[in-house]
Amino acid sequence: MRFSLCKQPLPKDAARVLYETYYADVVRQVVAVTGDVECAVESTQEAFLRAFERFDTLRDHSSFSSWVTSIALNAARDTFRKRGRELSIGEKLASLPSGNRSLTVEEEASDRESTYAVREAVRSMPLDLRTVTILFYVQDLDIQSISRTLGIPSGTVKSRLSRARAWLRGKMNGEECLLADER
Amino acid sequence: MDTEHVKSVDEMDERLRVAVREFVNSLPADGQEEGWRCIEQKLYSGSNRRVAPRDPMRTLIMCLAAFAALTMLFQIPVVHAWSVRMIIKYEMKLPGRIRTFITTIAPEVRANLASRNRVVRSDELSAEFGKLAFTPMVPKTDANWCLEAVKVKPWGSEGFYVTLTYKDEEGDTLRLAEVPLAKSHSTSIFYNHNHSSLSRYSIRGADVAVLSHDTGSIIAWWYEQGLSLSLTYTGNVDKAISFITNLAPYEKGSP
Repeated sequence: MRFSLCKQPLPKDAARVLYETYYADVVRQVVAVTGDVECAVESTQEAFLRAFERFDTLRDHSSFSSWVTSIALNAARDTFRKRGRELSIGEKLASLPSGNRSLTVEEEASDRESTYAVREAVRSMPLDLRTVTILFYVQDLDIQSISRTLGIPSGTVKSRLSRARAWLRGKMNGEECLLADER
Repeated sequence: MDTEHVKSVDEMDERLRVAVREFVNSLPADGQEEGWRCIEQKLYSGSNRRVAPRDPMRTLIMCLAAFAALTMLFQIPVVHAWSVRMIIKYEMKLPGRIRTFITTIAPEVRANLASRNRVVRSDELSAEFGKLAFTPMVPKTDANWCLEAVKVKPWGSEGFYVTLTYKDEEGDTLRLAEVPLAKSHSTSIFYNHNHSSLSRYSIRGADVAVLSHDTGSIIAWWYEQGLSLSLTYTGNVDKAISFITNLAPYEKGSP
């Protein structure tokens, strides 16, 4: 057990490098989960602040990205709870602009179609499935890591992941997809 | 078949992975610069340096442990004796609450502090009282009061009157004025019933009137020993009554 009254934050130049490297990825993932850009930005900034303060508690420095993403997602979840409302995440996701990327007309059309399909799939997905989806497919976390991050049993993670896959496949294939509990 | 099924699932999973990542990468990533400025200000600026918050329970425990250690240290006979000697020798004027604490754990310091902390020395008091044609009333013990000033002034054809100024442990001032009068005069007083209250006490057979105001200011007056006495004080009524109860005719050489 570490005994320390006062911890020093990560040195500034190291913190800047990590921040520049990972900020965009983290904030986009939180936006994908919450659908709320403002909330995502606040949660991400708070997450990096906490991560830099407690950097010496991180055992595996190579997992910094997943670590700070977890902090940001939990912070966003806490914010939602404090606000006492389930935001209309689906509608918010649908209205988000795309990132700044120059595309050809064909690429735009193709990209729009596949991105639109995934956006629609993610938009209509329940929040708990969306969170697991982002952590699994974007952060490449395994079941156990997701379980630890979200504080839920690994069986629940597997179940949600399975449902999320079915949901995504169905939407991308243009199928009407119902959750098991809706059948 | 099973292998093909697994391969099919893996391929699907990979497609999902690519699609989800493309979708996430298409989302906005605002607030990067302002976020860094915020972090810089909170963590790395000189005046607003923020460190990991301390555990309040741990801090409390350490403060209590330090306090207990100091108190126990003071109980060691050698340390105790040396500290008392230093306090008395150098006539340390201690703030009220600290003095109360020290005199609680070291009662022998109390009498010495009382006499050392008085501004008006016994010989000065005696000299001033020598101008009076009467024997004034003074506290029998001034352990809780510090005599700050004594003023003897002419009083019409009666000679002189005296005003004594005391300070209590909290630094509040009490003034006692003593005027020789042949007999008591009845007094009418008008006061605001909403903000003041008038009480009467019998002390040493004298009828003591005490008018106390919401603000904490107190006026008391009574007649005894051929003197008209009046007291003003800002503080606790009980302390004022205790002061009055503790009064006795001055004896030369008393504190």
